[in-house]
Amino acid sequence: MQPQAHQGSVTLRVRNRVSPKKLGFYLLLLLLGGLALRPAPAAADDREPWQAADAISDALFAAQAAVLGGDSRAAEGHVAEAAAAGPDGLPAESAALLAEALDAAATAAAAGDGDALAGARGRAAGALNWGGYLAARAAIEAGDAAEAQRWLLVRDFRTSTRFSRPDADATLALRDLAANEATPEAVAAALAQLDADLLDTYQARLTQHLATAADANALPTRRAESAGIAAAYWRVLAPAYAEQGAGDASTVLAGFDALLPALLAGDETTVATTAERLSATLGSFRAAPLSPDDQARRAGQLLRFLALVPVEYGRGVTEQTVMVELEVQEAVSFMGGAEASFADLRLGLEAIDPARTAALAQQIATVVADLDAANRKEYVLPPEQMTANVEAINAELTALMPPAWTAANADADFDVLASVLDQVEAAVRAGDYALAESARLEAYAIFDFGPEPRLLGFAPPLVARIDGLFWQGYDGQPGLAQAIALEAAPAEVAAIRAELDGALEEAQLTLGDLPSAPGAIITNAAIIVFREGLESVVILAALMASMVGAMARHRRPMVLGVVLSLLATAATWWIAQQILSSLTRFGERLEAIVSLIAIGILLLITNWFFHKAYWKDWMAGFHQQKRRVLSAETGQFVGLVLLGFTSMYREGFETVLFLQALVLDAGTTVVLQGVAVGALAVLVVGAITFKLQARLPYKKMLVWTGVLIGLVLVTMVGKTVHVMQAVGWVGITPIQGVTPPYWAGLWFGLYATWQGVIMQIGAAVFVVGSYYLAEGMQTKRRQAIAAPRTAERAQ
Amino acid sequence: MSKWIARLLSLVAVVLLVACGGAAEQAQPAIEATPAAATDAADLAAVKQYTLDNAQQMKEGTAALATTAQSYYDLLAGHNFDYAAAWAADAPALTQLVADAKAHWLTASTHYELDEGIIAGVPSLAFYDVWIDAGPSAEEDPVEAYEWTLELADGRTLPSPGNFFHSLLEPIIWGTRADFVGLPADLDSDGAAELGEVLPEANVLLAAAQGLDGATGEMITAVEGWQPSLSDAFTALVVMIPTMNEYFEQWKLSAFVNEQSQEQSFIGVSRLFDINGILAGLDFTYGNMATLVQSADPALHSQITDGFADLRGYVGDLYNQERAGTRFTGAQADLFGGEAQAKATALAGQVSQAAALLDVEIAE
Repeated sequence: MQPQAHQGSVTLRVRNRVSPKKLGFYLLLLLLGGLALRPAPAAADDREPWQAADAISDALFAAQAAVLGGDSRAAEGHVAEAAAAGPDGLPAESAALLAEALDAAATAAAAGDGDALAGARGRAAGALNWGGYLAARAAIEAGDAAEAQRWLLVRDFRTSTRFSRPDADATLALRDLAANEATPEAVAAALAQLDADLLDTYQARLTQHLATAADANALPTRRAESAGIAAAYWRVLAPAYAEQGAGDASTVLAGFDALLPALLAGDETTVATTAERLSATLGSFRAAPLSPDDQARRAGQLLRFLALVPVEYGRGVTEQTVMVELEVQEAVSFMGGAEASFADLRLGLEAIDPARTAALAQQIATVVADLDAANRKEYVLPPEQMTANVEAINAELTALMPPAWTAANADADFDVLASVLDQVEAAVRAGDYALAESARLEAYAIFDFGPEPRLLGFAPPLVARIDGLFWQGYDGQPGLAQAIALEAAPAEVAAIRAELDGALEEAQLTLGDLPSAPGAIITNAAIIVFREGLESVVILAALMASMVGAMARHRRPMVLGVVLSLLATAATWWIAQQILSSLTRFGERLEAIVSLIAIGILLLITNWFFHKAYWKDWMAGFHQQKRRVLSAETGQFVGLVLLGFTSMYREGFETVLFLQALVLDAGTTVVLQGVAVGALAVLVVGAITFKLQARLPYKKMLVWTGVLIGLVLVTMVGKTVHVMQAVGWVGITPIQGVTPPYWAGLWFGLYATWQGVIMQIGAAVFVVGSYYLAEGMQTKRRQAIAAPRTAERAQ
Repeated sequence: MSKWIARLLSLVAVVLLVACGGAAEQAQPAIEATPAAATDAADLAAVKQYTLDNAQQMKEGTAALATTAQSYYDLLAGHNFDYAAAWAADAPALTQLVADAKAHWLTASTHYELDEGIIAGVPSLAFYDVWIDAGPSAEEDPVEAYEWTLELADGRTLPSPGNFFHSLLEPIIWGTRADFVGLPADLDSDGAAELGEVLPEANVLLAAAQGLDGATGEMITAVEGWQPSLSDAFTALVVMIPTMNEYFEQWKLSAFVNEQSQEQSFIGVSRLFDINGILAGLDFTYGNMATLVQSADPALHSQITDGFADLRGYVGDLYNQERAGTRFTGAQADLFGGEAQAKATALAGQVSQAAALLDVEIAE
């Protein structure tokens, strides 16, 4: 039942002549002779450059097969075929290298040397890709996008992995260049994109090929081929190396060129030392330096990942013991992300201060080692120490990084968010739903105070979708919170994650393509201020409606509260600009606390409102007899100030956070223009509202006000419970089968969790109960007042 | 009048608040999403139908396997799970049942492989690849293993046992794991119980076969509910094309290359066959988007088409040679893998350029 085995006589004959290591390759090529020999290609003139490059590669492979078959003459023929297939227009330097490689191939073919032929094939392939880069570059400089596009097809790519995709910057840049006028600016931009893409690609590939060439355990043919490719790829990078003043490019070139001969001579010592030196050279510079945007993105990732490390670690360990392995693994993952980002930024940081950068690298390595040790349970650093170590790194990085790097960066938010969502899925797979929920909240917090405020300014429906997918679902799709609470299967969670990924990608695209025109920013700022301001107007109108006649004096403390809240909002604006990132970290908790205070005050005032309103209604004639109790009046005054303050500041706080996002896009001046427009509109609507309200008959107004206050309270309770769930202060028990539309949450604080709904019902019961209690008390009071009068009359 | 004012107040508040949202919506930038016309130009329905067709044919195999496993279990139960006694009494029937199990497994596996490029490459479906075909067991990789439990009829449980095809059923049916073997048996009557000749342990065979059938049913439901997008299709191509090294490595370690192989998997069918299947599915997927790519960049489309033909021809020829009796060496397998990976890296790179030109996001 074993798979059928067969070895041909030719194979045995070859074995008698060659070393065992080479045998594999020889046999391979013999067997693959048929594979390599494709139908004869069309004439070289008819071919596109990429077709000519493929034809050369195929012909050289056929030559290798022929060498293995012992047919040197045929091999030479194939090499000649390769030479004839050379693409027209290959730049001179690369054409010379190709010619040199083909000469070497011819010599190797004639000598029947398979390793040398493999090395020559690698060098030829590298020369062709180098030529593709040079030709594309020259065509761009000449403003000929079509020609550049033809040559760009002759290129290598980064290996695609789960975490990294081949770059397409050059392809897109050439498409744009072809579609527009080739102005000097457009040409410069296309060149920059071409370099960023291809230099990055060739540096990555060169590093891989150098490692293969140096690997003594790899097959000689593969090593030779990689050495050949590496020598050619260095030529792509050499100008950037020289330009950056990183060192003497010609010395490095000599090293790469010496690698293949040393390999073919079997001089492993030279190969090892040369490869080590070249590897150090490659690691010391970056041919395609990160763009300022990429640097800011990496810096954002670095700081965000670092911030998550002590959080996870603290959850995973006690003083000396690992309590939750998955938490420690998460900490390791996040530190891995931080380490990778630091590696990308290291050159930039070294340019600022090499000594401090080296010290940071050491600190990071120490944290990595400590985390690994905890993960392997070798030793456990106390969480406080881990926090201190990470915070020290964070502080030093923040001090060292240029301001542009530490500004808010939405792309970094999305990157880190994706990592945290990975942890959600990992925890679900491990059946640890509590951990999954904790990671989900973390991910939501990153979204909520990272991209969401900006997104809300530009694409509210997208925020609705993402919020829904994070929580109780959206448009028929289940939500992550609900799925985790119901301990859904990993497949279900993965499906929600896929939906969420789609929405987040759309969000990232949206934020990456925001209109930068001042008009658009002013409009959006005005809309935000108007929307939030209108909510305040509704609340204040409801609360102040009853304050007419003698009660009008109660308006003063409320107005004072509103004025104070406006000052506080202005102060928040200033603070937000100073410490936006810190504020963001605590944003939801602050919002929850402010909302709780607002609810507390509103409950008190609601109760007071009903009692006071009915008291006034029936006891108006006895105002002059009332005795003022100073303490009660003071308490009432403070309460009203607080009510005015919290009602307004809730919206002010939110508005500031939303607007900060716009400030990052367009600057303070532009945004403040929008604020002015929005505020004016709010004032107009507010004035109209209050004026119309004043015309209402008193009793109608009372009903209207009571209903509105009740609605405001129920909404506020729902939203506050939601925020408290977001920060983990209140649990989440989904109401199965119920998915309220997004607007129900947005406008009425209605979310499908038992906690939220029960609290809202409680608030409603409080309002209604307070009304009936007040009414009951008034009835008794009326009876109490009426009884003596009746008695008097009876007498 | 007062009613009118109250209504007006409500109206002012509500209308203005709603207007706010609407205005904000209007202010958002136009996202350069893939135009509907572009999606129409790609026949994604055909890709879904292809996936569904193969999944349903796979289901026929898994259902037949479950039925066979039940018959096998019943026969063994009749002998109180005394394998030697059962073999002595019912050798022909048992031989036939094991042969049927292998055939049904192959049917199911073959059709899954034709789907694998899509199932494993589409983010919302990828879970099924982990569960059915690719996920490691906790023993192999405690961190990456998908946590699930296989419950056997005799009450035993196998926690995080890996995937159905290669961690469970292949070792069970071909007997490459000692604890899954009921009895080594000379199934082909050539005088020796060789590799692959065993009476599987009936409890584990039944549970795994039924489990695979159930998982396949779930997968079909997921595929039926799948709304294929260009992003799904391109992601599948970019993620799955460059996995040649991994498959060639598995092939190198398998009994098809290494006579001394101790591998428990990839014994029922050569991994080269699987690679062929995966590439066929991916090629089909690309074929249904080809018009779109061609309209965006004819030269790139031509390069991709040529790349698919080259890679598929390369692997196909190797498989044909293997089927014709050639036993490749480990060193050759290394080299084949290297060459295939180089071709795959280039092809995936080209496809990723096409995706970028069409503004299609590749999921991570």
